[in-house]
Amino acid sequence: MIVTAALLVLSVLSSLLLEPRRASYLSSALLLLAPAFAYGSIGSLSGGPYTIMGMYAVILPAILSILFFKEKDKFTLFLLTVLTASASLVPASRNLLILIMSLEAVSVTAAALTFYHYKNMRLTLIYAIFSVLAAALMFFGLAIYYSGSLSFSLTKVRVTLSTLIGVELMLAAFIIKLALFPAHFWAVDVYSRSATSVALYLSSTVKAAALFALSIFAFGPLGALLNQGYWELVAVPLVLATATVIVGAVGMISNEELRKILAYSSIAHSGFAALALASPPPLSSAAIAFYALAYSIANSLAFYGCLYSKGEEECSLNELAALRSRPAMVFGFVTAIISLIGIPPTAGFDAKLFSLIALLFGKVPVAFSTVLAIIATVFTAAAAYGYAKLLFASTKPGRSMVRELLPEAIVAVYAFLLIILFFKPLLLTP
Amino acid sequence: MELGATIWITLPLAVIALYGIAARRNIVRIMMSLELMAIASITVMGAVSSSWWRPKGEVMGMMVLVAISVESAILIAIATYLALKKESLDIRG
Repeated sequence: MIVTAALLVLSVLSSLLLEPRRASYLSSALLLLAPAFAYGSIGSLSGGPYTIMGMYAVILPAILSILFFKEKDKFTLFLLTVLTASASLVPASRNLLILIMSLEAVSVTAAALTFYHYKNMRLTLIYAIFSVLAAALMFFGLAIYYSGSLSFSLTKVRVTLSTLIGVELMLAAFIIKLALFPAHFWAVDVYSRSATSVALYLSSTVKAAALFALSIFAFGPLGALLNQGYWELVAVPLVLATATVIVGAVGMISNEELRKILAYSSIAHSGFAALALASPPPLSSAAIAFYALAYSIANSLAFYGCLYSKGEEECSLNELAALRSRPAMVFGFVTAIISLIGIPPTAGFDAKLFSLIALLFGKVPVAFSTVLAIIATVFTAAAAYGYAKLLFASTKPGRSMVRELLPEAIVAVYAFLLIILFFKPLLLTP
Repeated sequence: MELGATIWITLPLAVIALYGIAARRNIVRIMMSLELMAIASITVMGAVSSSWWRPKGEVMGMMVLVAISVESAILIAIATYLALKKESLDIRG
């Protein structure tokens, strides 16, 4: 872990000291290299296969933003790099306090990113206020939890009333962070109106970090309480997660704007991943973590299709037709959309399957989980209509684009990764 | 034994703070509510530390202070921008 930490620090330093274009390449290379050495431990930060998977889930989408954001300025590059370095500490955390601090370091300061390109203070305000609300709930929940459990350890959980209230408050904070219904409005605004590379970053890297935090939380205190029969703790979050899938699907079907469709898709996926909370660990934790990995790669490719065809500006469905002139780009985009729908042979299918298995074989009553599973599946299938609009738009003939080797190579690699993950899914726990 | 009295004292603080963050539209009031929530969290952590002699609670209290300060810094930056551009600290203004 020491080499990993050193590489993360170097990537931040290079973004600060070098000229932005060179720094973006060097920072990306260092960030990509860092998880490869994530073994051993430093304090409460621990390496291993789960940590490596988590680090790649947050770093792979971030690379697309760092390399290809259009107005290369030093401050945005520094912010992107430092946020990514913080986000990669989330999956390495093996202690509630460190987990929540690293998550807050990412999500609260990410508000500053929304100011990039459009200089729209309204978006920054929306993001900041919801982050602050979630952070306040999270800290108070953690304090109440600590007063009952007397430990931040993931494994030593004392069951008291304070522990139960603390866990419920932290779950409420996760609901806001993941933009689950009814706290989903901020995500639609922020993902559809901020610059494309920022929307890519916030909806992939920051969300993957939040999902990994939820996965570790499900492995620790929540899992311990579920194992002791307190399934009522997750009843309301599960209903809200199902409602989120419904809201996401309806939003995708009823909207014609590309970025709004992707924003609602992101919301629906958060809901589907949260359904795995019904099961005690290790299934819940592993299912959420794999969902985060599959989702973050596919979602970043989908947003990158938009960034590639139109840059940071709003991109209409018709403008997506430009992708057709570059076979690697259209392959990556179509694979990503197929993965987001959940069709084999892509990782999105496995992710949805594990989530449903965790829901159906969890600790909640069978009738309750069956109804939720049916509703979530039906509305996910309905959401395929929204994705179909993107698929048809990307395969229409349009203006031709100049060949660029690096973006096309990266997109092709990510798309192949989604296919490989279908055949070899990673079910890992902290 | 649980921290009954301490939690009963901090709960109203937390409820007022949550209401302030969720329902207020003035950025200074939001910042004040955030501070209230930080105080509520730190009070609980301090009580746990002194009751059971667990220094981790004090460490956590310090870290919450740092995190809340970062959040306040972002909100102060937004407030300064709003005051310069719109001459108002009201979010809707």
